[in-house]
Amino acid sequence: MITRRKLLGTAAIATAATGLGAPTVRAANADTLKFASAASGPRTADPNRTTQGADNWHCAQIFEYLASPEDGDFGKQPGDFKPALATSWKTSADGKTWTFALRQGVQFHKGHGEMTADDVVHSFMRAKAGGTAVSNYANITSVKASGKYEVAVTLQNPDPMFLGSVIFTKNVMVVSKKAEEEKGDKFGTDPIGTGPYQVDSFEIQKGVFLSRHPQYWGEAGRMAKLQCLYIADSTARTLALLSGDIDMMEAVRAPGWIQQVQGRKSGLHFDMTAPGSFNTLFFNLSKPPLDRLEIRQAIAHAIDAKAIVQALTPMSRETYTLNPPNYPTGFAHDDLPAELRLDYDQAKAKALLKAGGFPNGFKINVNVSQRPDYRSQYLIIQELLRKVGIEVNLSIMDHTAYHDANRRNLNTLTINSSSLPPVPLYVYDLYAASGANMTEDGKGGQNYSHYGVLLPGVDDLLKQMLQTTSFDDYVKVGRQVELKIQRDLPMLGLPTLSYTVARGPNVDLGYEVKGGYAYWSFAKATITG
Amino acid sequence: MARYILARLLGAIPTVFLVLTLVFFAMRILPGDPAVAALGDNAQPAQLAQYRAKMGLDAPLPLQYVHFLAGLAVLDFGQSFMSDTRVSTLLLHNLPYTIELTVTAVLIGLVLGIPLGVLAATHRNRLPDDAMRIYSLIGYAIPDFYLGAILLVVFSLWLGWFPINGAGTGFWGGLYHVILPAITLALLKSAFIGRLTRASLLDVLGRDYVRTARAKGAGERRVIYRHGLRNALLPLSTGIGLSILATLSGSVAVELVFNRPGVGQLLIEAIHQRDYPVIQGGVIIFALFVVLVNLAMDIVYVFVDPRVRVQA
Amino acid sequence: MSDVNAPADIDRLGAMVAREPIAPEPRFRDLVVRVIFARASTSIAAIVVVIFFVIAAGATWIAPYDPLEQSFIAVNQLPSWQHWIGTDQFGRDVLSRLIYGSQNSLVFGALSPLFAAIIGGILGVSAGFFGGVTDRIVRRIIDMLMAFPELLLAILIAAALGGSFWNVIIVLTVAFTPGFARVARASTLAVKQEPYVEAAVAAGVRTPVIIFRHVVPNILAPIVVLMTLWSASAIRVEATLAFLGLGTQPPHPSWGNIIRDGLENMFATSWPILAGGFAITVVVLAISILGDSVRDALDPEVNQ
Repeated sequence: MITRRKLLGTAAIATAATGLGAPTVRAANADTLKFASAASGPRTADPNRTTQGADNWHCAQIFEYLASPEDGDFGKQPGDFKPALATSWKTSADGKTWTFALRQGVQFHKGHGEMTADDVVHSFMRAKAGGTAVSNYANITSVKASGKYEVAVTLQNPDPMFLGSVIFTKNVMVVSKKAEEEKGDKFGTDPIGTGPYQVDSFEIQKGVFLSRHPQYWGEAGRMAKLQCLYIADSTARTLALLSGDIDMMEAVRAPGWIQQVQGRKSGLHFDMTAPGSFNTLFFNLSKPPLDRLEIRQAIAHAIDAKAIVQALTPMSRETYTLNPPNYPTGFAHDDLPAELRLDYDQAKAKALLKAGGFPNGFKINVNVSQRPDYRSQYLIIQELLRKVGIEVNLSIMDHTAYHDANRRNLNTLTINSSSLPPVPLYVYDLYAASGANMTEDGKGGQNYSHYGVLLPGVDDLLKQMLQTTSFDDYVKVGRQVELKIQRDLPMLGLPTLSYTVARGPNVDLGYEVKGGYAYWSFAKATITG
Repeated sequence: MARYILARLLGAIPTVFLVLTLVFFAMRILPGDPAVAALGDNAQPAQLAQYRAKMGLDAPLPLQYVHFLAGLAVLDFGQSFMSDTRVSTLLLHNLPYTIELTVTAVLIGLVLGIPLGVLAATHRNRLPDDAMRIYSLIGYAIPDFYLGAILLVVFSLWLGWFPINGAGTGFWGGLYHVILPAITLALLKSAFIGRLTRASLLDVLGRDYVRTARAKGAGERRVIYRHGLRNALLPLSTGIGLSILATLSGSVAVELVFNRPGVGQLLIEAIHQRDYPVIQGGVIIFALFVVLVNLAMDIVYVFVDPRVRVQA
Repeated sequence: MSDVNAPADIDRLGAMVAREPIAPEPRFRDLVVRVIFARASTSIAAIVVVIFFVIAAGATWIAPYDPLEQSFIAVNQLPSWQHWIGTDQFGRDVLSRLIYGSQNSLVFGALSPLFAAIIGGILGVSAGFFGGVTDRIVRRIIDMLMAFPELLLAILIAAALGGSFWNVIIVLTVAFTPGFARVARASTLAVKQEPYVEAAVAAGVRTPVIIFRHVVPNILAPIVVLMTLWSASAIRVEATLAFLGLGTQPPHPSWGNIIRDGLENMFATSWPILAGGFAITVVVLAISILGDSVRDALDPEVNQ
């Protein structure tokens, strides 16, 4: 919720307002950057406990990783990662032990002392023991301080993508051990990290207010203050940006939105991650006729990816396999063997339907989330499938009811939208491994296709991947997995949708956003004029 | 009197209780998982189970209900599923905004409505009366949220006279932000209050004492304001109570249109996120509001008409 | 009350029967003539309502496009010859969505007051006729529910049930039932005191016969008035629920969710908002004018 406003024309009222304790009217307050995300209010500022994407924004200003890629992108290979709280690291010959030398003299916020190995060990162990991503750290067997400024992490299996799969994940951002133990549950609203900004106040339904960390080890944040605000309503948020109430906002990922706001205010900037959210269409192999390969292929050929991309332009990009083309194991269109290219082709779709035993098409019931991003994809797909004779009967439901139905084997064509890192094994384990099989009792994972259970899957290849010690081998096996999934087609990569932030004409972020998670640093941002 | 109020308050408990029980069970029987809503789409099964256990969602329904009642007994509405916040904190944070909006809207409605009603009554079956009739019909037909959307587009987006969202701080800041939403609600309510004023004024003006006053040569203005309106205001109190309730229900959609904090906005959002404790808290607040306003109306009645007191 | 004039109406309607019992066989043709031709405004209102009915009933033939059909090349268009009210963010024809939305409004506007009238009528008649415990229980329930403005009641029930066709019907029916029950009860009490009813009871005529021969025909008139008035309310409340995301779910069009979608997309085109709201206002207005007129025709004393 935002309560600030701008001088909107009625000088009289506004002057009266300023005179009597109303918030000061802001023309261009060049030392405060205001960002609004699409949620109703902050839940926590503890990176190991965040459950809504919006909360990661302030966490990203407050906390830091041991190593991270350049601002504005993911690290797609080990060489992309640069020192942050660690100055250097090395891997043992068997690939199972990673040792990090920590930066010395790093001060926590508000006089909580220097960061030492104890803090780092604590940060890792608490993410492994509890929090929102416990399973992501299952491969870690121990984290130990091997000196005041040295930490050793040992793994069960080697992991050439360790920097991406573990180090550059928000749950293990370094927190002050002492502060967390002192504050207990209150740590979530009064967090202590090492980042360029510290929390001044955490206000429910409003936002998190930050100021520059005076003892920051690196280059100081350029803005004196940051406000991570929350405006859930997309219209209100857009209006706030247009009127100058806020400097940056989480964009509305709806068809035509960018063009519309551009038409209302010139000079706006749009920062987009590529790929952003993966949109994956799972064919539930337990629901005939989706058990037939020809039918799945027919649907794939009936979907006009370019139409989807165009509807969401410029936020959407085509994806040709499960992983997007700019990810380590993704494929570009032309790199795929001809028989695995799922180009839009109605005639081919109809022929495949015929080959699959449904020359006149068929009817299928599909559950749909009412959340706008899901809804628009389903609506577009419904329309495209209708053209080849597949009648999709959509039943629209509340977003959590949709997920509940998906997890209980009640859906047929399940779309899952998620911002996934360029860590191939993570993606496969999440979506394609038989261990992630979705079950009727709702206790299974997110393999909504039952791939590897109803159809021989990629488990063996994943095991191989887990044993590789070099990044090249890892990717090589990963690309085999990618091709096998494309051949069996239990799931289909739909066009990706960039996470997008709209930025006022006078706001400079200090770097270019290319990819990465759906949150990034404001430390280099400046407001001119 | 105190006994009467106490009796009425106790009598209201079953109402609130029934509504709550209904909401409690209906919500939980329907499909949809608050754990998924809270932890996000990619939450893992173990995590979800852990969350359900933490929030007591894995207990059998009757047990959950007992816990809920036990909490209520000590005025504990529980913890929001969505934010690490007590429901009571959320409610206390939002309630002032809803009250601010409701009170402002009702006041504006009275200020606009009563003169309109007087005008209509004194010009019965002439132009002002007909205009009043049309106004009240249109006022009844336009949905709050539509009028709100139009006012928002015209006065905030196009003309830039009013802020586009939020609630403001301080007295003037608050007033500046509340005006447009309050006017939205007030325009429609003023039609109702105007019609009611007209009816009760006409009723009073037909009474003997007014005729006597007229016969004694009192001026028309004096007759209307001194004798007529003063007595007509008493039955109007019911009308005011009803408009408070109407404004309150209208505030839900209007808060949404103007993106204003408030209990309505909180409730609607909680519904979409399946945040059961917050939904329950919002329902309790609204139900209590209704009960209290009804009670206030009855008390006014008792003062006005001693016969009711005897019955009570 | 979203329908602030309803409670006053109820008391008046209840009393209406007591004051001037309507003859057992209502003269419907006279009534219709009196209602429609009372004034120019009611005639216009009647025409609007007829048009609304025709459009809703014939939506399939009248709508120029499929209300769900999207077009990526025709997104957010302003009004033109192809699309009279333009298109929305999915390139769907707004006029066709409004036309199909009228179907929605008609269904809810007709069904929920009808169900509420039946349930409320049964409750009210039994309470009024049998008295005693039945009366006390029914009165208790009525009082409890009547305390809530119907829109608020609808929102609270929808909070628990969520939005789907039958849930919305349930929500609206529950919201309107107490009003009908109260009127039916008051009317029944009044009729019961009529000499001919007392005579019938004394003569040992069986209860169902008395109820259907004497009571039901007499309470029909006020119930019909309420049904007309409240079909307007039902349309409004349904639109509000849909606007709040608790009623008809997209992509199925309803006037309320057309406005909701429109607000999300108001930078591109404000036509869906304007047109959707206009449709609600006009139809509700027309039905209320007719409802008022029906009431005046049945109860000449009120409007003297």
